[in-house]
Amino acid sequence: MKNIFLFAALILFSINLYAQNAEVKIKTSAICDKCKNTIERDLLFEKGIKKASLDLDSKVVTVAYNSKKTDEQKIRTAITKIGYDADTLAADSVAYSKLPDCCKKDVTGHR
Amino acid sequence: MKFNLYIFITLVMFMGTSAMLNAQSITGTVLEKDSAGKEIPVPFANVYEVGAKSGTQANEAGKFSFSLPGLPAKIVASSVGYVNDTIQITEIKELKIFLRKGATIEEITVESKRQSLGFSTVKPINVEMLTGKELLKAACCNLSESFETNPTVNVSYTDAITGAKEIRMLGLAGIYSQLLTENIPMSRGLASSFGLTFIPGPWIESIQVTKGTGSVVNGFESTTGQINVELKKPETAEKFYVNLYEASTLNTELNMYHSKKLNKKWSEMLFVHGNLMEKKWDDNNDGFIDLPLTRQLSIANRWRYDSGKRLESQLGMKLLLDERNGGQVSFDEARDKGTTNAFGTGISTTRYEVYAKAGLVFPEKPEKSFGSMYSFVYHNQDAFFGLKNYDATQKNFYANLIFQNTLGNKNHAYKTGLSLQADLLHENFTQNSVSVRSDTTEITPGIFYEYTLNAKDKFTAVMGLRADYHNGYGWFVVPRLHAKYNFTPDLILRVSGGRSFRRPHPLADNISVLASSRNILFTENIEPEIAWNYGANVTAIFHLFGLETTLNTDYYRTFFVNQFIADSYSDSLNILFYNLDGESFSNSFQTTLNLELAEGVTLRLAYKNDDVRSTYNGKLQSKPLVAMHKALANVAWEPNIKWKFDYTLLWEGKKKLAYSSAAGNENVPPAESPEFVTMNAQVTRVFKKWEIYAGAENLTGFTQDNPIISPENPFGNTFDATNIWGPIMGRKIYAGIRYSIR
Repeated sequence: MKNIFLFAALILFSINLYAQNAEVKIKTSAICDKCKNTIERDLLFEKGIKKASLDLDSKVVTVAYNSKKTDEQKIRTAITKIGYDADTLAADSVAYSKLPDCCKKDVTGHR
Repeated sequence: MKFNLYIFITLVMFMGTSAMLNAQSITGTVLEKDSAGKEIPVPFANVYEVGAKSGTQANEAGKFSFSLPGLPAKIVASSVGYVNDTIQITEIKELKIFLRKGATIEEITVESKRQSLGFSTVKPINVEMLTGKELLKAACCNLSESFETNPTVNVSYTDAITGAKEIRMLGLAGIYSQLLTENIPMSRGLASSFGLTFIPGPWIESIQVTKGTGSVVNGFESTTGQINVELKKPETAEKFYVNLYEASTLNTELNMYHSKKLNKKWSEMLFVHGNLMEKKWDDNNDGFIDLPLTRQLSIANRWRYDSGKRLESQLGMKLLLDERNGGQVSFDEARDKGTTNAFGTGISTTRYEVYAKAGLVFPEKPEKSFGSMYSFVYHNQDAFFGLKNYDATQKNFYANLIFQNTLGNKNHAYKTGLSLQADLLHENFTQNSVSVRSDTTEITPGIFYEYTLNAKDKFTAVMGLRADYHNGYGWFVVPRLHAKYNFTPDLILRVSGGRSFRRPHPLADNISVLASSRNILFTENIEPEIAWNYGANVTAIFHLFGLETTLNTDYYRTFFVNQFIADSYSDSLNILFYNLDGESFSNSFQTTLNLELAEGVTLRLAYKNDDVRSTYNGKLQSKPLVAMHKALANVAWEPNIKWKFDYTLLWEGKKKLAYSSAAGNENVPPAESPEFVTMNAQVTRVFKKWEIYAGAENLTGFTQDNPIISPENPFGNTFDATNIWGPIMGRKIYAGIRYSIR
């Protein structure tokens, strides 16, 4: 049993060793908690992305990724496809139209 | 070796210095937005770093300042009446933390750790929180499976025929713990034997398990603990969700829900659940089916109203139809019911409930609120076990009014209120062709007061007192105490003690005893059960080789002043029911270690020791079918958001079996059951909208030999299907899909 854990731990460590870690901060058009949760969750499904956390006050999402598998531009495109602006890139209009009401830019305040 | 030690020491020192060098002072304000969107300060909120020792309390204007060991850091702001906010800090700047008003009626869920099994470091009461993540570890099917990876609550079958499951807390039967749905008592009287299977798993948002005596606000019951189930809420749930499950036993389940915001003030949610199992399995070839055939349909609907100002309200209703049939494979209900051709059992339940909650908040004084809840339940159950019949109907009305406020400042708070429990129970019991009808009316109004002292966040004490008047038994006074002391934010001691009172319903509480040839014999009138429970708990959070570890250890003792005993030892032909004469107690020790082995890998190890004894016919003996020693190991691995792996191993020690009369019969079970191990495993693949899962219960396929005594002669006087100590069904493989729209 103990060996299995050691083995699993070893694999995890070796994965970390080979990865090329990088981080990028991207300004988004997130408004409320729902937007935050959607962006943080959906980004994790993109290839090479390990962590994403969004600060609602500054609207900046901090993304940790493996630079061998993806790059900053691909991450920005991914955010636009979720329905949000990413720095200077505008949100994909189809995805934007499907966002919940509180995440649309013309609505202020949230609940 | 020596060299390594030097490196290690140097490293530790280096880390120590760098931490000091990096110490940063952080300042900010805790605020909330009022209904007009204006920012107003929240006074005296607690602000602290997650898992660390630094923290402070904001001043009257919401301003705070404290030093952090380094960046990035996660800090939590919390205040009574608000939902906690956890924020990640990556740079030093003036912070503004916004808190939202918490729901008025529900307890505030304090989340200090985002682990799936959270031990709270903030509450004075010993509460374990099972979040959605933990609940998904058991894909099937209802509340009873939710505790498969939880060592505190044990779930076991009560007999080999009906599929009824019983929970145990602190070694005592589920009837001594209080089951609540969103703080409304739900599993009383008739619902106590199958209540767990009436809440579908996917409807559950989270479960709070309170160990030891509960709060007086929820009533006079809850001897060993409280289990509060929060269902999915219209304002936060997915818009649409469907789960389809199929098992190798040919058990099919379908769950759906749909939530909708109707307008700014109203939101609504509809739940549907159905399950079906119609295949007769008899893997152990004893002529009896191993799992009952089940059909269940339940529908629930709930609405929430939020005025955005002072009033918040919830309304809901639930309908449940449940049928379960067991017995001999050859049994045909239309042909054989009421005869000795073949032995069969059938339990059919119709239940509906409506409830309403209304809360009033005072935006200018967030600690002050008024909450009220009302529920009405109709529960009808028609059951037959061979030639025995038990038909019963229960109507229950419940109301609870709670006012809370502070005394001067936030260090002194209180809750006070009135409650009413009213039950009408009609029972019709037939054995040996003799029918006994009994009608019980119980009306119990009560009054309660609970005072909370909060001294500088180091010490919290909750002192509660309630008095209830029962129409048959008179006044009952229930005092309760909970206290918590933080030696450090990561080392916490809790103690609790209290009295409880409960009116037993022997047949409803012990319906499984009907699955035996023995007759039910009441040798005395029913007296109320009175018990005391006290105990202590230590929670320690520390870093072991840099890995976050939680160690939770507790010891609780329950002793009965009176108990209505079901005695299966003393008489081979009868189960005797009488009031306790002598000692009856349960001593329960448990220790649980949760550790993060690496990022995404968590391990849980638990050991439990339950010493449960009662006086049976003048002799102090262990309670039958309770294992003194139990252990659990659970490993969860989430390499990334797409994959989840989960594995659980359970070990149960020897259990004492209930006496059987079949002397000289080769089927006589040994006086003790053997110890055994069972394993469960599950894999989930997550996509953006879809989830696919597959798993196995009882991986090794271990089953109890001869779960039924004398199965060849079910109408003889040695037949007994209640000596269940292990699994009846072998390995079960299942798979399912979930689809959700957020």
